[in-house]
Amino acid sequence: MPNSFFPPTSSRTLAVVMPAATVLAMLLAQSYAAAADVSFKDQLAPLLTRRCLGCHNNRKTEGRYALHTFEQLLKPGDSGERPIVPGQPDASYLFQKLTETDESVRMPQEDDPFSPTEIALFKTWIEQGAKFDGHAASDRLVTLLPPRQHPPPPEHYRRPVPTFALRFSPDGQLLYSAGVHEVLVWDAATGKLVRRIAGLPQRIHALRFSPDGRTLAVAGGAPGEYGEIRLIQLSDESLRTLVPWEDVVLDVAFSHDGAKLVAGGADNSVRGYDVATGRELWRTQQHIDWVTALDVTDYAFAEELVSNDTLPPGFEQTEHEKVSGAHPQQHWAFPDGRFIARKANWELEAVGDQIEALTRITITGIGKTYKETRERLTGDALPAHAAVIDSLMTLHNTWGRTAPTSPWVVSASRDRTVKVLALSSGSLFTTYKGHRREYGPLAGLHRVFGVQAEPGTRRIWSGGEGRHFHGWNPLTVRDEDGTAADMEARFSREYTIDLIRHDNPDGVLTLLRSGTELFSTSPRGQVQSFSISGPSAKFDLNTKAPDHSYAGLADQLYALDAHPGTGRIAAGGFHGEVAIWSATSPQPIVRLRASP
Amino acid sequence: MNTASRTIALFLLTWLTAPLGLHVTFGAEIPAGLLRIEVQPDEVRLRGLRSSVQLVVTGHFADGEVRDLTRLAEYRGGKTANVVRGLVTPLDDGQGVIDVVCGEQRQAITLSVERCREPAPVSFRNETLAVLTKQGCNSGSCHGKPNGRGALELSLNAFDPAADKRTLIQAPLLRFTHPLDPAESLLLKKPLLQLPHGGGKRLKPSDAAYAILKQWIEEGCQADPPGTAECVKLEVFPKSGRVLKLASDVKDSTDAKAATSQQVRVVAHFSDGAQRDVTQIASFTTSNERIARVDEFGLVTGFERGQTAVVVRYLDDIASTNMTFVQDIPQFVWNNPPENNFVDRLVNQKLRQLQYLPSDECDDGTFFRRLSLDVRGLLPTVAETEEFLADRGANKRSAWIDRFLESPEHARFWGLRLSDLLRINRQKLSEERAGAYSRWVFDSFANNQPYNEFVRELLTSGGNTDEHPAANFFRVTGDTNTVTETVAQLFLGSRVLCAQCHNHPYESWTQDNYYQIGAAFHELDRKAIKVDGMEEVANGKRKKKKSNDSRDAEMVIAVTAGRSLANPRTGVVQKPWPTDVERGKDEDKRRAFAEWLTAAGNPYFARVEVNRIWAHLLGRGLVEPIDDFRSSNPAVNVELLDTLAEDFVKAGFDRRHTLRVILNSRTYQRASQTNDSNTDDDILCSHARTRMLSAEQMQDAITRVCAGTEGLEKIKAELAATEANLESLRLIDGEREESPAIAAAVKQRDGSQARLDGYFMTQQPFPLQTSFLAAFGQPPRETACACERRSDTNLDQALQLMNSGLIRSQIQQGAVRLERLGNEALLDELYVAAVCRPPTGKERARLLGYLQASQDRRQAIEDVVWAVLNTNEFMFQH
Repeated sequence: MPNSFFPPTSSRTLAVVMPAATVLAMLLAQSYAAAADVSFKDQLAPLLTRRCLGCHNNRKTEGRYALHTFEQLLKPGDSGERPIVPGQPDASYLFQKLTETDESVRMPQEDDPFSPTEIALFKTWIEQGAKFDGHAASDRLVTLLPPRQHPPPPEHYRRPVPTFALRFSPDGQLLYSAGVHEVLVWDAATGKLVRRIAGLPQRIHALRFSPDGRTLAVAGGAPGEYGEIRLIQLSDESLRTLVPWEDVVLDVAFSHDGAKLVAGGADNSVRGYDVATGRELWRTQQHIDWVTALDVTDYAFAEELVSNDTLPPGFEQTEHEKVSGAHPQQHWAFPDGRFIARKANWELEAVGDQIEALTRITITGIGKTYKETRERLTGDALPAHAAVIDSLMTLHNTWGRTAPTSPWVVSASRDRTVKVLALSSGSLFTTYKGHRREYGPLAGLHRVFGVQAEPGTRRIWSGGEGRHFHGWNPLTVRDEDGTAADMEARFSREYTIDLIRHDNPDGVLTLLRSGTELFSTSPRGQVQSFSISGPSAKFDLNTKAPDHSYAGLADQLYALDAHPGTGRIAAGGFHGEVAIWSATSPQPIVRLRASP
Repeated sequence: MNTASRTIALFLLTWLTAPLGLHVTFGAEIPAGLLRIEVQPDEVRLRGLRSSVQLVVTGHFADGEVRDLTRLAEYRGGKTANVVRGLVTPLDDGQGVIDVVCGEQRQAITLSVERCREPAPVSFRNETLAVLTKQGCNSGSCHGKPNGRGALELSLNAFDPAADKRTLIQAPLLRFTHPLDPAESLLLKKPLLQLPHGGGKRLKPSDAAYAILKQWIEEGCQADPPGTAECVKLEVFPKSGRVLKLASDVKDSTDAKAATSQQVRVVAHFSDGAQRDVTQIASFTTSNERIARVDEFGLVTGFERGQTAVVVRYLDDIASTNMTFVQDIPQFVWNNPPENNFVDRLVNQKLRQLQYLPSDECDDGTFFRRLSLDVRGLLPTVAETEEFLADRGANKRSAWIDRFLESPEHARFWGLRLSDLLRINRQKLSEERAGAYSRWVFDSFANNQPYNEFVRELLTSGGNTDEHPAANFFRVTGDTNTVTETVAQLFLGSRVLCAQCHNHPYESWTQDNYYQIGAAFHELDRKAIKVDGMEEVANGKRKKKKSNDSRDAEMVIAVTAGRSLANPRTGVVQKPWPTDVERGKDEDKRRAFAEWLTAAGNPYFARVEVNRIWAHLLGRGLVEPIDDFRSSNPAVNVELLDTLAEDFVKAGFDRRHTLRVILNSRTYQRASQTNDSNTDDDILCSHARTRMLSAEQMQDAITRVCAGTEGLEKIKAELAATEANLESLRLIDGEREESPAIAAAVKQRDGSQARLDGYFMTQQPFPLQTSFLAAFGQPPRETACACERRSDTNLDQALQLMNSGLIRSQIQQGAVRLERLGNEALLDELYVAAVCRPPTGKERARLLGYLQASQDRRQAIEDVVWAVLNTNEFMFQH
């Protein structure tokens, strides 16, 4: 898919040097050259996308006609007439509709007609045989379009704009902030503006560094118009652009190995990309509202149901597994060599050959009656179960090394759920519905604005509206989810989850795990951190957890970052003011106005 | 007019109006005979660059005609203001004069322009939300619907500015606006269709709305500072009553060339006392688009003779002005029909103005049948008809009107209609309570209780509903919201249900008002009490069950002081309506409400009741639907409605008085046959309105024709006999109540009583719900809406009349009754009973032929009866 990815161009040449007039001249030159040989992808696809796609796309198909791909463009809608008859503009129904004099039936409806120049382009193209010069007729038209040319950022901001994203450089010395059509780079110690990186989308909602620290992913767009992800190579500030979206991209995340990138946004989709080629690997439309935040687990997971016949001695199935004749075996592989292997009622944790613990799991019931109890054995208790440990080590060394495995993508959404998807394929593993409850002490319909996969553990943290952060294990969530038949019982029961009560009445807008702390910002200007491990971690539904507060901003805070190395914390919000704290002090050490 | 200025003006006008699609015929000559012009307002004050004032220039002509000259006049505004088609916009600060010139006539208007050099920030509520309303963004089918559309969720017609502020200013991630580059805002690009928009094109760069929205975004989407004045009143010019003449060659609404137009001007009064011309940011509709339409600038164009309201909305305030379009109809000559009373005077005034000639008076038979059906619900008996037809007295119609009005049948029939609306049904009430409640309603008609007293008694009723039948009102309505909606619909003529969740989209009742009315009734408790082994229940919920039937429990309606009602959206506790009355803490809050409602000056109460009476008698309300009074739904004859209401109040809220006035009018007594002039008229009462008999009337008419009065007399005699029998048995055998003979006699007596009770449907408080009655629109009495009684025609009705069980048994009875008479007499009897006239010669000849030719006489009579019952003349009231 060569069209989906464009060679690096220097952002400076694009957005700063090239004056608007030049861009205009180029566009005009393009359209006049058309008379000679019209290019569908360069000349018509942009027009169709801009003028027609709103009503004739894969989701909305007025008159049962769609043109989101070239293939679709050729298929008749309700009229049954062929939209394009190569060589015969007058016999082409699409062309007739564009040139209709009766405004009530002319396309586009309730809008200005195509200009004579544009009509002429269409006519010539059909006369020339209506050739498709893209890569594949099944590709979306938007993937054919050249990358968007962004206007230069404002030299001086007439008024402050919201700071939607902040990120410390990998060494913690610089702070990157979202501007309009640019990323602003600040000295984190002094608050001085160091650099401006232009050529970027109108709004920037996410900034993320690749794990190697060499690439900055910038995601954003213009609401209702387009979404965009650009990858900035920090060495030379060259830009790579991924295929545009139809609405703003709200968050991006790299996989732990840096090979993949996932993104989600206001078109409710989550998409996976290959970083090296920029190719889209998958996309999924599981959410029914904006995808607000994403993360990727550091571990890879594999699972298989195997027949009970193969169950080694010392293992037991549950009643349910006896009936079904199969039991699960599961494997979690962490980047540092640590792994967890599970079969039936036993789970082994180890790093290489070093056994850390063996856990006996007793499960009774299913769905609403599901109950799991765990008995964790370490040290002296282990030798008694040597056979079980052997079996699980063997499982790890054989199946654990060959089974198809994938990290998980966790996506938070305004639809009040968090989805767990396989990074490899985008397929849905489970949905965490704990933010959407009808009954029980957590009752409420809460939109989710932040999600973080806690490294080294299987725990996912999510938060948004409501008064709690939820920490949960996707596997447990799936097993406890039950069926539709026990819905009421399910709603009233809590999952086996860790809850931190932050107690902000309006909830939180962001969530960030840094070290053993969970940071958040709220719509009322609170910046707080809560411990998620060690003795100070308090998981209690009913009492507010102790927190560190960082004062100084009174705003809806959309942006947050923390740098563990330097201990710096930064937050910013609606009115464009950004504050940087040192972890030890409640008052900011630097304040800056992120709209120069 | 000098050529240069005309050219410039023409250019300006073309340039300004061309993109707006207006057809302006500039330079048209002022018609001859202009006596004087009148300019509204007589002084123009502009404050700030965005302000504007719409002038309305009215010309008075020698022939008495009034015309709008706003578009024809020439204006000279000087250096401080620009005037185009009467719209004054500021150029610079200063004082000056606008010269308005219409041919020979001219008028100078003082002009003062201030604050043009100061920044004038856009007001979020008063401008931004106003134009979003004008463009239709927050309408009920678009972003104003619950959950909005796309990510944009606005409050319906901007009734909740706080919510709109959250959406548009704080917004999900500032989605809709881009203050650094306003033109890039989604809020503008979507309606301009620069981006695909499900709602289509809603905005043009030339719209005032565009400039306002853009400036608001440019200014950083500021909310209003606290204490910003709000619109408290909307005023529309010209005031109601303007009459405009259409060119006589206007055919229909496509004929724009010859159309007559009227510019409208809208002034908003704000809570700080300021006034502002909001013509440019208000939205306009007409209540009757066939008669006139109005464009976005408030220019009304008439197409057909008739009346319409021009409805103006500014934010959630609504105001309207009524206009009448008249037209010279060729050969129309007013024939001065006789007038019996003020009803005729006011109806004729309208007819004459709109050039319709009324139909003649109907004949005696038709009148008598109509009167009897309307007043008593029953056909007259043959004897009554014969007596009436034979009467040669000059005032016999009036005399019989009085006679019928004083009959118990009248009280029963009108009680039935009111019982419909009070929802006296056996689903909510036990048989005994439903009976007692409807008897109370019946008594109020029978004693001609003043209507204000009746309603006051109803709304302040309380105590055990078994002792105080009126208190069943609160038992039936169940909860505060239902009481609010019922009271509003029955006595204020308003369907306020919409206001439960948001301000009413088409009238001035707000959500707060809804809960204010509710607050007056919110202190009521409905306590079921323990009786005969019944367990105590609270709040309508049974704690222990003895009987499954909640109708069985006795109930006490009592006031518990101190309960308040808040608007659930804002959480603000509402004072009970009327809010300007101070009430004591322990006072029954209903009392002041009832006083306000039934006071002589109440703008709704009397009008709603006389309109209901009018609708019952004439077949259509002056305001229609009869429980939908709002400024956007004006009465077809405002003066008549006002005068009837005034007369009703003056007579001491005497319903029978108003009935008598209307029944005695020529208007009521007109024939249903139309003449050449009035076939088009359906609402001005130029002729009587034919309508199908209502469900209960239909069944009773059939019963009366077939079983005659003999059937009824027979049952009465039977009842008397069974009662006498029972009495004598008890005398003989008083000690042994349980004796089988007495039990049998009781059963016999009850059977006779039931037959008597079931004889006439119109005479029962809650007739059985049968499939026959349902087919003819009998209401199930589940809502307080008059619309529950259906008046449509359907196939089921035809089938019921052709061969239902009821028809079959009645025809058989009819034949048995009639076969004792000779053929001639039989036909006379049948026709007089069914349609209050003897058969015509032709009818008589055909039917006699049929009867004589038949083998089976009874069968033939049945056929004849069946045929007569299936004629339109029988099925309809005319």
